[in-house]
Amino acid sequence: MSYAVSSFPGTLGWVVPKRGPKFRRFAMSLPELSPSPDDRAGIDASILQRMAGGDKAAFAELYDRFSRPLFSTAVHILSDASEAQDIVHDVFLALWEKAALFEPGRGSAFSWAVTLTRNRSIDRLRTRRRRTDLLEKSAPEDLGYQASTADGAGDQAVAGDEAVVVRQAVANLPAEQKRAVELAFFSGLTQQEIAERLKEPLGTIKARIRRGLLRLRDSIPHRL
Amino acid sequence: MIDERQEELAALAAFDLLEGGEKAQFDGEMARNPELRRRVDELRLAANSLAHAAPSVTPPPALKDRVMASVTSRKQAHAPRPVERAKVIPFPVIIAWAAAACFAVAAAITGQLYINARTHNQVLIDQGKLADLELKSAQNRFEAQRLFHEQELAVLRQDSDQAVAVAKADAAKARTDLVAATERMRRENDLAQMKISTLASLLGNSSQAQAVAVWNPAKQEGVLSVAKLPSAAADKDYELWVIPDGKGAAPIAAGLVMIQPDGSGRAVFRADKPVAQIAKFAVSLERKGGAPAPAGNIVLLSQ
Repeated sequence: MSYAVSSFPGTLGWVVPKRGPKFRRFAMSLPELSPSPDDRAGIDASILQRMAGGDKAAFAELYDRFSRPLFSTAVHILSDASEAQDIVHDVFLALWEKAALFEPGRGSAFSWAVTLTRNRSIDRLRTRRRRTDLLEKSAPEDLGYQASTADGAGDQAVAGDEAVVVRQAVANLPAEQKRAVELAFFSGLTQQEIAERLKEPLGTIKARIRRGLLRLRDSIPHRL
Repeated sequence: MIDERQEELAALAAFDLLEGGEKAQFDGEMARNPELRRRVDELRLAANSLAHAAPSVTPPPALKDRVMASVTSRKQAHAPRPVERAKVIPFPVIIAWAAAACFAVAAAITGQLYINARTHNQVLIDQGKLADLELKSAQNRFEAQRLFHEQELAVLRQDSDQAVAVAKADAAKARTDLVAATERMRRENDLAQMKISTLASLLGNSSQAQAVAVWNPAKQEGVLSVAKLPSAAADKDYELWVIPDGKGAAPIAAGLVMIQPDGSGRAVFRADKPVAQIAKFAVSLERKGGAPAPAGNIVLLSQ
């Protein structure tokens, strides 16, 4: 029997059996374990490191890990799948070109990719002529899921563990904080525009965004 | 230490909702406060996790092919090189390098001072040239103004001369008109003051004889015109008399009156003495050569 010890930082205790039928049977009896948030961030960081060396296989792996949430975010902001594809294409090219410039100490690779996606999507949104109509389509006050975690098994499988956790955290927010935070992230509106949209004073909106985001920070595991 | 206001701004920054002056001020605070910077990073992580909350949409398989095809020709940015550990340099080498560095610095400073001095000198020269140009320009402007004013002055003088000439001509004409008017008035006045008298015949045998006397008291002269008066005898002459106004005033001799063969006669006469006002005129027949006082018969007398 031989073991492959992962070289990823923070995962020295993770032992992957490479060969051996007995160990395979033993391993198959263990419950399915997903990497922890820190592990996921570490894996992403090591992929970026390999990408910086020109490793296209690593790039493909990163694409498989990030494309769904990035594409979903872009579609949700733009309400246009075709434009969302352009955005995601440009984001991954930027990740490839600037992989060597990524600083793990400043945040996760996923967070970096989401920032790129969101900024490009909102820029695209703001240049459209029918901005008001599109904002009404793309920024519903409710993302459409309930506080219950009883999502269908299929949806959970498609969404992934991270999505389930985050959706649960968002659904658990007080309604007014949830609306403020969702508009802040997905709508492309300014602070003042969000306040006008929700018909609340600007100071109230700022406070709701602050409280909602602090709750999310405390609810969602670090480095998701 | 982060207060509530900073935490609120950090949340907004995590969503890239800060703009303008608010953003600039917060960026400054972050630069000075590493803890605040870490809070923003932390909240941005939480904010970006919302990407997982978007309704899940599977990207089309063709998108991956498109992305993979695009990266083939793309260049990658290079990471900054790590700082290498400094090597140990011997002391004499350090001294030599220090001396060379000092010399280089001194040379650079001297060179810069020289360049500055040359530049300053050139600037002064350029300023001098500019001042000269400005002076010439000012002189040209003054000369142009002087010529313009001279021309204006010449025009004014010409206009003035013309005006004077016209005024003089007008004055001369006025004087002429005044003289003419005065003369006219004087003549009219003289005419108004002239005495015109008709003299009737006192001769029984020549009753048709008559005369007209016109006297100008201003000039003290007059004209007598006679018609149909018989000629005087060879030893006789007709003599004109001016009789002043006033009781008992003696007639004043006014000269002889020569009669033509046809009985007409004309004489311009003056009184021997000044006469203020004439009452009558008379013609008498006197001895040849006339008399100082009327002695003969009166043949004509004004009415």
